[in-house]
Amino acid sequence: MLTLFIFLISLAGGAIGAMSGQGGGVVIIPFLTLVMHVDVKTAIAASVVSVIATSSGSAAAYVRDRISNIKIGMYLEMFTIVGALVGAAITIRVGGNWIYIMFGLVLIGSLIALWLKPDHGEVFNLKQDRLSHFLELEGEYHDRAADQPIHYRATRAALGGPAMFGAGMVAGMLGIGAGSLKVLIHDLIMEMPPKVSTSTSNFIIGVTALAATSAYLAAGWVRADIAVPIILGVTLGSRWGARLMIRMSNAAVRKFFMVILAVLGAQMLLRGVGVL
Amino acid sequence: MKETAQPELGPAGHHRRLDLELVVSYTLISGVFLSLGLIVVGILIGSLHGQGLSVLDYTLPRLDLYHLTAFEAIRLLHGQLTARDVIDIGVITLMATPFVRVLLSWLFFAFVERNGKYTVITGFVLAVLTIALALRLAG
Repeated sequence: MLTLFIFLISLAGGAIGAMSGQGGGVVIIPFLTLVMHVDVKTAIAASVVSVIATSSGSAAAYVRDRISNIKIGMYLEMFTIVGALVGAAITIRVGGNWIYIMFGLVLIGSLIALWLKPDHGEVFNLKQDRLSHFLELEGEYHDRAADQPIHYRATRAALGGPAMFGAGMVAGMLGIGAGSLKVLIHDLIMEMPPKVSTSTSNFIIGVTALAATSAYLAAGWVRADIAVPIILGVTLGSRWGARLMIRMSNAAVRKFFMVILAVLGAQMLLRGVGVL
Repeated sequence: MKETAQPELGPAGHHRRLDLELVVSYTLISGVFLSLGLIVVGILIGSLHGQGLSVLDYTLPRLDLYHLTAFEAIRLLHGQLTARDVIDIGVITLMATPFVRVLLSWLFFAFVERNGKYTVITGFVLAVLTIALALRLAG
């Protein structure tokens, strides 16, 4: 019964995650811990395994369409995987209350980031510093909406890389993709075009999650009755959510998700400080 | 007039070019489908043996990925696989997917594109992952 319920929650979480571009973990983990009273570390370990599945599935399409930039992704992965290992080590060692507080802060932070999200419009950066040029952080993709090739250059590699260490740490610590944080770094620091930013973030998330998953597996925290329904549910739900998203307006999706982030973020914080 | 290099043609006259994007894309999608398929097969085997969803009532062995892989390989060779072993192999396959993606990328940068910078960068990612998969961070 528990397994079936987790599968249904994961279906919904996957759909919501796909619609908002945030991933299912930010919804599923709070639900497992607050409603179903699953231990938060067990929930994180299960969720991070599922992140590999959803990330790899969606990244396959973006890479094939050459929207994800493999070189940018590989460079940033140098930082995210180390960050993820550090994050997983922190989760293994600290008390559960700190995890709740951290999770709540990340959800509230994601809410603020969504609210303040800058609109770059159709301006694509073509300036680049020396390091970014040396690292060949540029590319081109065919934008189907505009029906034209888009050439772009990422910049500030020296700042973007270390910032991704932080994103990797959050991902590893909380069992989520931390895609919103990664996209913010891509957008604001490295000035990547929105589609390249999102798709490259997706590409990076799977390897980042692998680093954390291995730590939790060796710690004996991966429960099949929780991980398997999440893996299957989120993978299916995200495909369903992607189709639903096409029919909804961006504003509606954004408002809906902001409400979810606010509610869950507040609850996780309150649980962390012992009020709930 | 500038001459452009002709793409290499395969036996049937089709253009043949090793494309990292296609290799990575097929690796990722194959890995995900294979792993999900194995997990579902494991659940079905458990159901056929009357376990139903209780086949999932367990914690994966407290082993790093290499030891878990070796453990399941030994069981496979001895013909001792159970439904839970098939599920474990599905999870192993899922975890191996991004690792294989990085490995193939490294091989591509090192031997096809011969890009020294990205051979080093990808090699670093591969080295950290290789070590990470053997780490035990908990006591």
